[in-house]
Amino acid sequence: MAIQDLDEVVLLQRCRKGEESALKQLIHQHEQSVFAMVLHLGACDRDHAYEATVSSFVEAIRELQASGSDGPFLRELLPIVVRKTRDLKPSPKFEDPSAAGLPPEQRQLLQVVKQVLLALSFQSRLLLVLRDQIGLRYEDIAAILEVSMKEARSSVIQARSQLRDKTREALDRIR
Amino acid sequence: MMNCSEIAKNLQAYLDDLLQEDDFQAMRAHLNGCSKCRDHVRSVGSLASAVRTLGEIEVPEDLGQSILFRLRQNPKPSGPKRRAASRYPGNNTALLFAVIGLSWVAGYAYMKSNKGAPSETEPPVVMRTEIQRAPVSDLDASAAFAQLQMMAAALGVDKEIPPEGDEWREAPTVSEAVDASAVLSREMHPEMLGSAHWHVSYTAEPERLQLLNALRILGVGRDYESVELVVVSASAQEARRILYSMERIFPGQVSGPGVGEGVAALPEGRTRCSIYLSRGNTEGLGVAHWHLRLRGTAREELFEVIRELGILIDYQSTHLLVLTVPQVELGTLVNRINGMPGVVPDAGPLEASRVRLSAGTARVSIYLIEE
Repeated sequence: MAIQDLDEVVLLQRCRKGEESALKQLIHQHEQSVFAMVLHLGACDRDHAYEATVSSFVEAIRELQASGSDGPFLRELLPIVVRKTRDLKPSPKFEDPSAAGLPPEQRQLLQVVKQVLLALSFQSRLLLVLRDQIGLRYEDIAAILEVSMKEARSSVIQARSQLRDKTREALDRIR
Repeated sequence: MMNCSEIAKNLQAYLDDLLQEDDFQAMRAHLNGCSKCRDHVRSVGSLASAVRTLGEIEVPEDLGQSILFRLRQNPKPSGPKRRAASRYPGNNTALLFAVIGLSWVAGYAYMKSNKGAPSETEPPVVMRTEIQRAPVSDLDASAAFAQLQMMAAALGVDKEIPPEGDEWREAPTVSEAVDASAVLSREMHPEMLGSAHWHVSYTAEPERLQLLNALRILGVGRDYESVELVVVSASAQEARRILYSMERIFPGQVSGPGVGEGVAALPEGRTRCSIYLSRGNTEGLGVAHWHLRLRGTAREELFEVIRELGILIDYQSTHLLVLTVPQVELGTLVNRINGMPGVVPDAGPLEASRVRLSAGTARVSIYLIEE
């Protein structure tokens, strides 16, 4: 997923002018991925994820309007999301993955991956969510985390490796 | 064609779709002929796929609206936040009161929808900590108000406001407060703010401390405490004990709807008790305490003035307003109130000079008496 294209530059310009339709479009583009990101990073319930998502968007859009920057918007938004999510308390009400319609084996894998993700460090979870859930490019991940692209890539690979090993262990225990 | 070790080496690039076309084709060719590598790649790929699937979560329908609403409430990037911070250094007083106000509305809506009382089979959910602070602790008061307003609209709480509260809807600050409590109404908090609203007149500081000590002994949590106002959340039984303690500490000096009638007016479950403390209704200790008798449209006019002057309402119920008034606005506020034909000060004329200011602001409590 490219973090910005020409359409977004135009969109952001309209947002800075306060055009409501543009703001709606901007929010609509990112609300699903950000909400899911907050849920999985914070391992929190929907109410807390809702609040963190709303306040992150509001802060990022105000920043956008105040700074006059042409984006990319996600580079403004996601660091805020990460900051707000870091302090959220994990909730037992953290929802189960949407697994309706999946075969039992895949449903089980989803449950296991969800549990393993929660057991990983926040940083590893963040890397996996940014790369494999949202689908950000490494250069964008590097910019958001303020690290080099090489470091971003090796960190993602390391996090994947952790996920793979722990998932395998968990599945072995079940079987 | 790649061999098995090259496949392992290029696996991540393959999953990230970063391989050059030639390498990609070479890898595909190997995978077609090597079931071991194919299974491995499939296994690793299924994990990435699972992480992606976990992200397929349904977004609350009103999320976007909520963001837009909050942006509209505070369109300027930093102004309102700075103002709120300067008025409430280190605490969330305004937020707390917004939440209290909202809780009242939520409670009313809940009780109305349950024909006056929570059913025995479905005991009321009382989560005091969450209701007061947890969901919005990192927000400024304005943001909390906005959030609650949006939720109130979604829940149709406005329709549940009792007829005698019609004028509340006219005051923007009130409807903001309604919003704040509506968010909390997800927990259905069945309480009636103001149903135990007592007024205590005392003469010496030790008496006030005695009351605070009594509350400590009774073990009731204080939601808010200032020199002149204590708000507690109490069960009906605790409320009776509080009243009993007050009557012992301040004999003959306690007034309010609960006195003489027991506390029968309290709904079952917990209630919000406001105890207003004053030293003979005079100014002191950095606060102003006014009693106003209101006639006709005076209530609306009063709220209009407060709104015009940009004064933030810290707390609001039918009978009590608590404001934080900057020094520069105090004189104007007093003059405007004195100029309202429908407002009669109940305890002598309002004079800005009698208000002792603390750090450029004063806590102004206005006790409203409808005529």
